[in-house]
Amino acid sequence: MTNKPSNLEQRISERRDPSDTVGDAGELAGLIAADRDAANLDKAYARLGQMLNGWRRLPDSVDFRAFHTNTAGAVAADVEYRALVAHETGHAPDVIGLTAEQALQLTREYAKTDDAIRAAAGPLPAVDWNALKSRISAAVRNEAAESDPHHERTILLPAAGAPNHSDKNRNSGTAGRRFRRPLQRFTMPLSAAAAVAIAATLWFQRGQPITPTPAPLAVNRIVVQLGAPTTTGSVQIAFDESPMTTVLAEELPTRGAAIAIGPGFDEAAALPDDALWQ
Amino acid sequence: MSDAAQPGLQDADSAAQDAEAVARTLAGDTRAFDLLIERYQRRAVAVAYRLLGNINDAMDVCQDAYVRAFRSLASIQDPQRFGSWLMRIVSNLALNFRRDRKQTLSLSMDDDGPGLNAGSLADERTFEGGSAGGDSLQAGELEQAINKAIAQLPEKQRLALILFAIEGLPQKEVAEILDCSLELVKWNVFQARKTLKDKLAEYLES
Repeated sequence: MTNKPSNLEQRISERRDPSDTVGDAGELAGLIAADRDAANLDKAYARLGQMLNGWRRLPDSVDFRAFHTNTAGAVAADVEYRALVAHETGHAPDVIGLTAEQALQLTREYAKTDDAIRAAAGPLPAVDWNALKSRISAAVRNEAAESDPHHERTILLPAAGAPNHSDKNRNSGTAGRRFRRPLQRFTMPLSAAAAVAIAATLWFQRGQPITPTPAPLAVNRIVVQLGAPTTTGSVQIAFDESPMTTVLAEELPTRGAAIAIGPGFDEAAALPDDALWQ
Repeated sequence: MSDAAQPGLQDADSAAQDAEAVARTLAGDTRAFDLLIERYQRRAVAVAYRLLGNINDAMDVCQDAYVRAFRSLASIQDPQRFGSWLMRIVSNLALNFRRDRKQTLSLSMDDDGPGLNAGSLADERTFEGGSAGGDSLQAGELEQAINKAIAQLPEKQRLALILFAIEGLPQKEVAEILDCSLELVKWNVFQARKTLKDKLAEYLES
């Protein structure tokens, strides 16, 4: 073919587009008819157009009535939310979809609801946190007692008031009521060990504000030491609770994973990450 | 009316109606916004669905787009162009959603090793173009090939192709949605088509 336009392929690709994108349709048709390559291109783009028209068509099952309802509901909820945020942050409610009067009325209604909830809710019932602590400890010991005897487990329970519990003390057997005995061997998945740590976390987070530690230097902590997982997925766990003056990074177990939990997360957060998870 | 046959977003009448609905909404009549939801929901969901390949994701993205449009309604420059403006929001949110989803998948696979969650990006099978013989296996293979080829297009090309060549929006409106010139729309559509023609060559011969 002679005198083939440089943009022939683009023109062919646009041939079936709405008319404003096509140049001289007659001239293009003539070019296609006279040139086999151009004709093949034309066929390919026609087929491509067919394929694309069938690609990802909306399923018939789409429920646009429900979509409309849900979307209108989401918009209305957003209006209320922004009116309340404006109210709580002390800004004048200037929200599309609400007049100032409507916004004020809305915030009054929510304020009434808040008051009603506060009035209905009594004080937090007294909780015996020591009893809860005992229950957790007992549950851990019971589980160990009933577990598979083929793996070793160590539980550390130092005496209250022990000045510290470095690895040295822990291994020496001199720290008060601490005992260490090879209990029945068991296999514990890592997730179960993590659950114990989480339970201990929740206990201490909730317990401390109500029963603050009387002695300024005796800070209650729990150190849960997870032994390195074996190739079979089992781990060892050491559960150590006692009042202690401080927990330093170097005092934490170096083998496996360890979690140090203090009365507040401020102190725990002060420890370097690699001390918390080694 | 089918999605493909739906006309451009803004003919003269609908543009005027859009402007009126926007004005009424800004004046506090939230029911006026319902008209705008109804008018563009099918188009919005269709475009999001073409971009995402999952109808639930598409509807979530579109709902979010409407909420954002409502919030920002006072900032719209030309209320008569509400449809294009909304489609720009839908497109941007869908592309962001797609990027986030890819990133999540990538992180997940880093954690779990190859093979896990590999189906998370799998698209729903809704191909109707079909192969010549209508064989479902071939249609599925073709659909996957199109998905893959379109997914590999640059975003602007992909959007231009979907909005103009598949959804049938006028180029002028596509240019508004993509915030580029008419010529650039044409160029992007052509480049997308050319790439697809090459990548899908084996399917185009039948």
